[in-house]
Amino acid sequence: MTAFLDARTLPDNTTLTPDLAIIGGGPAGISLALALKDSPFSVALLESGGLEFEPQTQKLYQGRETGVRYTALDQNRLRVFGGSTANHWGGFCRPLDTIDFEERSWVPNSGWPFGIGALKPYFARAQALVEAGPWMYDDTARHLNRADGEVMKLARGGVYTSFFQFSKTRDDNHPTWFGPRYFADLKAAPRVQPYLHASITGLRINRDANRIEQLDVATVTEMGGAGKRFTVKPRVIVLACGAIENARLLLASNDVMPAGVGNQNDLVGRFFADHPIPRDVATLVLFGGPVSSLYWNTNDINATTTIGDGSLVRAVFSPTESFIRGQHLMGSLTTVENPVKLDEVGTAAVVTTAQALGVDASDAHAYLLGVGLELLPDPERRVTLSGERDGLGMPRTALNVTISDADFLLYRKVLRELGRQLLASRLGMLRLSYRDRGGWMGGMTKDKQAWWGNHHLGTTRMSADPKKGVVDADGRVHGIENLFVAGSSVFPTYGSSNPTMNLIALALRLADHLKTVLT
Amino acid sequence: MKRRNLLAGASAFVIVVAASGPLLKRRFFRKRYSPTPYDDVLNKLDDREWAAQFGETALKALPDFNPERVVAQLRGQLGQKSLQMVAQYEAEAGQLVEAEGWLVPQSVVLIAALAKSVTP
Repeated sequence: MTAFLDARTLPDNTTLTPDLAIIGGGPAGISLALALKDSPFSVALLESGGLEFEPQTQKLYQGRETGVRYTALDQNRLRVFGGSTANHWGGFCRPLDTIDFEERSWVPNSGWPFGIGALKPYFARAQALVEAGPWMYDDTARHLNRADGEVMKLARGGVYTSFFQFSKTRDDNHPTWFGPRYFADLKAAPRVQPYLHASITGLRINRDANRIEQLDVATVTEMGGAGKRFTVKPRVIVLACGAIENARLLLASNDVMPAGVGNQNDLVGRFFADHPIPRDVATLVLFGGPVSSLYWNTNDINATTTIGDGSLVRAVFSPTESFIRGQHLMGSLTTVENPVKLDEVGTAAVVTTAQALGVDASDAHAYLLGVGLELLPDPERRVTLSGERDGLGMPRTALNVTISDADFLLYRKVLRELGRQLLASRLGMLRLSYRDRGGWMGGMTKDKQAWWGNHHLGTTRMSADPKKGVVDADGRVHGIENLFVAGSSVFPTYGSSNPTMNLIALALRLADHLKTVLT
Repeated sequence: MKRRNLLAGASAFVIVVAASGPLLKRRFFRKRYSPTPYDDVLNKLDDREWAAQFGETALKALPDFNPERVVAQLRGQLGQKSLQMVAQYEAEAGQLVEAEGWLVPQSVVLIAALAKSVTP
């Protein structure tokens, strides 16, 4: 058994020498540590935060945003043990789709160095760690009984009903908070030593620029300045502190490699990605009554439908793989959100259309739709370093966020197809809300909020080719023999699925690889 | 007459009346409008007033709207077919028009615009 150690209590200038140092105690880092807990290797799990939220540590995340309006960098993630699963996670889980891994002619810079088959062996364990119940997803319809509600019988076409499952802590509907949930498991692991309040301030690389020799670590005082400083000299290091911090640490560690560690091809920090979640993208009208409870949700996880042995699910509209290929689309998942009252024009449109189709619309119900979109890869959507420094002397982050007009136009094709299928099935109809960029951006800033999933991805993208990616197919930083990256920063493309369960599967895969590396 | 036969006859009468209700309603209680040159087409609508109301929006999606041309097009499309048959076909074939965002079968947009054009 190992107690969690508070790095602030370590003697100054301590040097730790574990076999493996994992930087970041979020879902990737914790999953990796748990996967290695029965291995013969000593593991130091270094977390900048404590067990509870601390404002002075959180301030280390402050940075500057440019471009499209985005969530503030100290508000869209949490620097605490358990990372952003603490209370920033909605618990949405869904595996990536097969096509998400493929190099696609219509998506520049797309493609993983392996297919979904490489992750499939790890999905079951990842699903168990997020406590999302039995693996069902697109097979959910087979598990439904009448009381659960019905899947919409859309006419044949390019959109189908897919399913989210939800992370759910035992005896509670809230998503699994990895910190408290796996605290005891880590404490009971004799070879895993978690350190709290241990903030990495530099990755020190050797003169040949091919091996990390040392990690510089600092603690934060209550005033937000630097406290103790110590070093870690592990055999192997895994960066697992999120797509923004992973890039920041690599870029800021520039004493030997002037562009930053692993940045010999100017790729670190580029291709940052997230899921924009514009609101009210369309109005869905169902002619024959309210939408099935499988779809309807008010973003309150307690309102999500429970089926089978307690699994929480929510039905969403997804483009089919063949439709994506045929129309050259990106991923999207369209959600039914709040009910809405139709105005006179809307009522006239619905009555006229329903009558023309020979359908009674006297019990029609209308709902606003939301969506989560995958963006086209863009090297200019990127993390760089600003001229300012945080309390530990680290350069702060500058994040440039972009969305192209094509991102919206591609998704609009999905909405039109959904509308067509609703009409063809005589179930209902759709009103598309936005025609131009101004409209879409309005949906991105409804109620003065920036509507993003806060799924930080892509800044250390994976490719077998060092000129196209920061890490190789094993997650190892190209050119650096003992530095690996875990988490969604390695996703080169990312579909529309929420990343947490997928990045955990990838971390478990990395754990298997590290067992061979460390032996 | 046996009571059983009486009941059976009465039930049959009720069923016939109930079944023919919508037809009777359409024949005798249908709204009346002033005659127009397009009535052969507009009579395919269940409710011309709702259609005319939507027609105002539909017209915005048809900047080159010309009633003569539209009615000729609709006559060609509809022929002896019902509006339902044509609208259903267009939905399946993706022959849709966006009117202020409302995604509607093309013939429905055209006929709604036509209804608006003859509404005082």
